Amino acid sequence: MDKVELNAPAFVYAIYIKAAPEAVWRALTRPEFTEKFWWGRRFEGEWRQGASLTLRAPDGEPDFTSEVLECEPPRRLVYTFDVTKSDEPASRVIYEIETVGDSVRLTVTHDHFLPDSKVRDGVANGWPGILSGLKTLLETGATLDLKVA
Amino acid sequence: MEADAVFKALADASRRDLLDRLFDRNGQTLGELTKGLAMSRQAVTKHLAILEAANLVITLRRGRKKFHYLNPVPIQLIAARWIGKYDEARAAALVDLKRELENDDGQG
Repeated sequence: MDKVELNAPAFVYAIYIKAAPEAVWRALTRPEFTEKFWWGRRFEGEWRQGASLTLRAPDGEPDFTSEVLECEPPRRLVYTFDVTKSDEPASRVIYEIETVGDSVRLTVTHDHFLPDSKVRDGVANGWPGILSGLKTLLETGATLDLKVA
Repeated sequence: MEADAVFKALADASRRDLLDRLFDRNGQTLGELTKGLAMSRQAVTKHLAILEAANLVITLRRGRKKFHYLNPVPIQLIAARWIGKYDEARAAALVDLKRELENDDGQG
């Protein structure tokens, strides 16, 4: 981290997933996988520091655009979250992927909202479902003996 | 089993109250969470440890302060187990993912 922030972020979520860190990274960043657990949404663009991306709904409408602030596969990804249909300034999302035994702990931090942000309320309802879907996607293979090495 | 810890953590009204307080305002310190409660600081600490072990609460240090966050993800997973339907598309995506990881170094 570049600097210690004293303000508490708005949301922190964590989930344990029985998968390799590389698999979790892939699933979070590649459109062919995000569309399986992110309600059909696909990222357009490149995950590289300074690059821009758009998350698009199945009908082609953009949900939000992002600038990649940090990109350290398969451990840490930081990007801005600029909701297309909102005038609010961009918020910020951080993914951290740590190995814990034969699983990973994925932590998602979402912060930098305005005090009375409406985007924040929408986000609060979104992440638990997205993360739950991600875990199901990655672990379904365990029952089919398709473990990602 | 992860779900056992979640059910045990939720099977206590005081712990559910603490989660309610975090739902109302996320990211509180122990002092803020204890304020106005009939419980002692020690009791709250103990309950928070149980909630944290079940991954229902996440703690984060910022400088000298420790903030507590509600993590509803384990509850979502329990709901998805009986409400969500098995999705074959996900299994297919996993096969693609495995193939890709085997074909390159897995970076990027």
